[in-house]
Amino acid sequence: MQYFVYLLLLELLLRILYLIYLNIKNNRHFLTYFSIKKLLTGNISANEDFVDTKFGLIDENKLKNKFRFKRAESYLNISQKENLEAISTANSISQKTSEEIFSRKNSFEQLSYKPFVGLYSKSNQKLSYANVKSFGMQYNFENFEKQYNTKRVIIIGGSAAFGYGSSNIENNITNSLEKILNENQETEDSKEEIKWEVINLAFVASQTLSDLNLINMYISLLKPNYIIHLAGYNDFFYFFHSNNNMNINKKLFQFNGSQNIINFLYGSHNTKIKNFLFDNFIILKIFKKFLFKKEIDHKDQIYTVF
Amino acid sequence: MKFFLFNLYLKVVLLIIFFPLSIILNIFNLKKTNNNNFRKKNYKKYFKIFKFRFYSPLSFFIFIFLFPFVRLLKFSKLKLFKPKRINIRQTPKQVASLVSYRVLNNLRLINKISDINKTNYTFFLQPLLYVAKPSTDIDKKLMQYISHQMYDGFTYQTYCKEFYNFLKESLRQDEELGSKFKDFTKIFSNTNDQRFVDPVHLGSIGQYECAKLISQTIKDNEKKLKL
Amino acid sequence: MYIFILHLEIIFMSVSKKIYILGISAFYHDSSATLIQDGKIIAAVQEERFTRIKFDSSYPINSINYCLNVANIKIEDVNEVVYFEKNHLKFDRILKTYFKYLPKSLFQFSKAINLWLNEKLYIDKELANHLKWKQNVKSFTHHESHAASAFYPSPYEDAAILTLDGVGEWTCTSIAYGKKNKIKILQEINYPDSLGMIYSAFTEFSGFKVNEDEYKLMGLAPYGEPIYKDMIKDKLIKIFDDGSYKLNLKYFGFHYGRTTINKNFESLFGCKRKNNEEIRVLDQNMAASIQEVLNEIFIKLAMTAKKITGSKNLVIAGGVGLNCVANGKIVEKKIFENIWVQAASGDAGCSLGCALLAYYQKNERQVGVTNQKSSFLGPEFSDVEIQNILDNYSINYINFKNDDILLDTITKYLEAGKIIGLFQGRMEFGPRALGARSIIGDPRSVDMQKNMNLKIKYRESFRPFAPAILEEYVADYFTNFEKSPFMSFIFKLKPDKRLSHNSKEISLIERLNHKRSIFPAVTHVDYSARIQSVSKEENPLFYRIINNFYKKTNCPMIINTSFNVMGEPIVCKPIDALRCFFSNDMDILILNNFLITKENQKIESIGKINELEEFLK
Repeated sequence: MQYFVYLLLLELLLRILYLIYLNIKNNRHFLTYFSIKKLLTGNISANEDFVDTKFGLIDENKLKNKFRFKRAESYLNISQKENLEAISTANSISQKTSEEIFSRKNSFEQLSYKPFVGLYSKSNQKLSYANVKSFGMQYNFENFEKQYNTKRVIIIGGSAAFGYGSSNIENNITNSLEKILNENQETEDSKEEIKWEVINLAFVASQTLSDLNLINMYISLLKPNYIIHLAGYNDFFYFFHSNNNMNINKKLFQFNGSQNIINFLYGSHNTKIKNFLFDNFIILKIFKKFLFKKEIDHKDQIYTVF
Repeated sequence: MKFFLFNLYLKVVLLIIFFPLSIILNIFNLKKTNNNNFRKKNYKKYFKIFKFRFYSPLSFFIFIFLFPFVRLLKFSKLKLFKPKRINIRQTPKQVASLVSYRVLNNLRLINKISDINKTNYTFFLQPLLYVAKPSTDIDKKLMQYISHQMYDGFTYQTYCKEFYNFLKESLRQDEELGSKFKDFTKIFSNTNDQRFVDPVHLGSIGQYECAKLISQTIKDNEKKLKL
Repeated sequence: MYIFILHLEIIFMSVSKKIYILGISAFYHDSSATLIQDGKIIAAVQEERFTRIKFDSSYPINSINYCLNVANIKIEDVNEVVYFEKNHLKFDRILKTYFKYLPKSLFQFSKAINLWLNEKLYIDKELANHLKWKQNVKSFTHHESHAASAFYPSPYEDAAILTLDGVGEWTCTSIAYGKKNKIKILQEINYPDSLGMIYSAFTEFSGFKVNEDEYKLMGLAPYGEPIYKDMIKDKLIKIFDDGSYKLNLKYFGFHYGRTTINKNFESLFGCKRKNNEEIRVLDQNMAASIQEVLNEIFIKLAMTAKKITGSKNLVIAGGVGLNCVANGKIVEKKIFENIWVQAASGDAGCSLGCALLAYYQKNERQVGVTNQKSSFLGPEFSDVEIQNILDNYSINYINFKNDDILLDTITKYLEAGKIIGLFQGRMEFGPRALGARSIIGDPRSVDMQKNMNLKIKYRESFRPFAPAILEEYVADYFTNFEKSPFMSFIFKLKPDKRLSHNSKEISLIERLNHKRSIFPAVTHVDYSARIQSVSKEENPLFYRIINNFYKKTNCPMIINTSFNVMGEPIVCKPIDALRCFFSNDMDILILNNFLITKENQKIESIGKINELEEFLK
């Protein structure tokens, strides 16, 4: 019995040490509500102050100074200067303004899982390049029901159609299109002016299959006159990169992060319990890290003699 | 867990018991030099214990240490009889044709749904720096690295170009979608101004110009409706 | 009354049961399954062709199902199921050798033990379970299976048998004697003295993939000079007069580690080449040197085999038996009157060997019954089946009902420099394409080699293609002719057919592109070629195509390379052939009598072909 108490004390001590370490690393104050909560529950990497983004969980604190396009530098193999140059010239703003606009939480899309579609835009987030309202859509009207003398345009597609890359909301593709359609209307005779409404259903990492499902879901609600489908690259991109992982290769449709969601939804009870234990007990976490070694993929030459 | 325990036990046994024994046996087994290396092993002699056959005393001795784990480890990780997943390596043409086929089917369905709901549908093939000619120096820098990444002997750019060409051709040849398709791949190839922020996405000016071209399609269609 | 009983006896004998034996090779390098009936080979096929994974070593369920379907039987009708090696003897070798080389072998030892205690010790039982086979699964030793696969299908009453490979249970090289229906292993060289291993070591050093690309090292040898031959014989391998040899394990790593070579090897010869680097002069010289050493060992072993068996025939099997250069040297030296090499010389052929062993243990043997002919033992597809597939995918085709017109069309396209994919008859058993699943072209064209490489493989290769030549004309073009229906030998072009050249080019590809003969696409830099001699009786389908070409052009050979997408195994079904055809720049595809071109094809059909079949149902 006393050994059990010792174990608990050890666990508590480890938790305190780990919390101190994390807070020093992230320049945070130690005694916060969240810290004490974590101390007791043990889920040190709990995600209250984490933001769910396209790139996974990012600590909100880190987002304060995180430049949105930073990741592009590594996969495009360009310097920060070149990166900022591209963004600022494409948006006609200064590099300093670029850094400011595309930092912090409002430049990272938050996503939530939507069946048949994938990781869709979370509702009600005002990003620097898009204003996402209810149902994850971008629109400027007040009534979902189409009004008299209104014509609607739906935009579907991937991140390019979403508006990613624009430095302000007014000049992103949704609002630009609405503005252009509504101005310079030729009023012939006594015909009334048509009001154009542009609704953007696009989201990052969308493919044509998710576009199809979105249209199917919302076309009767929104009653559009035009569907503008700006897409093509994502289907190729996700198919191409899925080939590297044989497990995903066969699927007709896989979206960004799908394997994580599938593992969670269909994971066995044992796996879920195991993950829960390892997440919440530091002792087990250390145990797992040092003693369970992952199978290393040997890409070296091997001649199987056995 | 079982494997972890077993491995720990095995390493202990190997180091503490087998290693010194092997040194001793190696000393005793120094073979004489002969004028040939032909040796014939007699595999007909063996002794059978618990359905295992042992062809030499040494292997039996080693097996005694492993025996406690035989039941524990039997069929723990069934791999041998599991069929392997197919590893499809694909040439640019195969990727292009397969993805185009899937995209085409999806677009046809969207078109059908639009027709039923009396909506006008147009597909715009999005601009892509890997396929379009880079118009500025910055564009060149943005696309250069990834374009030349090699996959199975082909550059990424080859894959992209092959796919775009195939998709364009499929769409043009399609009865229903031929007239509902607009190629926006190279809409910025003639400007000297920066439109792309990265090989796929546009800045605010690029998005505005894109919207302008889209509105052209809509307005043309509106005119047709009035007539 | 007596006559009545005699008649009854005759009737009874004619309806006596057929003996079916199923041989299986699996879980190591190349899974396969073979079915024999009364000594005749009904079907033999490699698993990789069905699963589309190269050198697939998984349980050959597809091959087994195919074999049973061809004979129209179920597993209950099979008399014996045979496995190609003795499991527990192999385990004995693993335990003893890893034990001997402790502590270096610690990691590999634990890995091997994990694998064996988990599954491999129970292979016999598990095979029976998965097959729903109620009796015991028989097994023979690895080299006995190789020896049987070489001897029984050969056209000889008696023969010396030479088997050489990486390692079976203990044996790496063996000399055996086969007479009538008995095989006796006379001499063996045991692990770790392995020819396969040392060749693989050099393969690894030269930056090629071990266990898969040994043939590339063989193709690289003519570019180099054997300057390291003496160093190899001095430091790495000691060759005795009778052909037996002993490796100096100081320079190798396969007996304790993951890689075949270790740091001592590299300090002796230099750093090993990485896969994406250019091939160095060092690699060329290393390839030439080890090939020379291998040739020497082969010749000495052949002479010893001749001495101890006294036979005038030699048969060869085992993975190292795929080294055509060394085989060609034995022919050159005229040690034996006749030589025959098993087409599926590697581990795939073991399924054939062990099935035959099980049969001939109890039955008499008549030469010719187990005739492998041209090794066409795999699936074939009827015209109706092919037409259905083509119509299903909406592919446009021309159906040639008249064979002569088809042959003339093929000849016309070959002359025009087109690259044709040929899919006809039963699939080959073994690693080489022999006219059933081949890509063919005109060997006289200077650009053909370059075009074929770029159009099919999308890269230039330092290896030329192999010619398929009408059997009657081989002697006119090549020296030291021996029947080579399975591309088992390399012969040199006759001097009057060669063109001299001063090749000062540095790169391998430039050297190869230089015209060395009137058949530049198939002649290597040393005027050698890996030939396939095509016989009218044994390979009539392929013979008729080459013969028609010869009638029109007076050239009795065509290029024959394997029909596959690079990185994949040879095509098996028509859909594989269609996929390969539309994935590269080949010009024409021939499926039995159907001709398909790239023009006039619906663009959608091409996409549909590549879609996974399960999504199309």
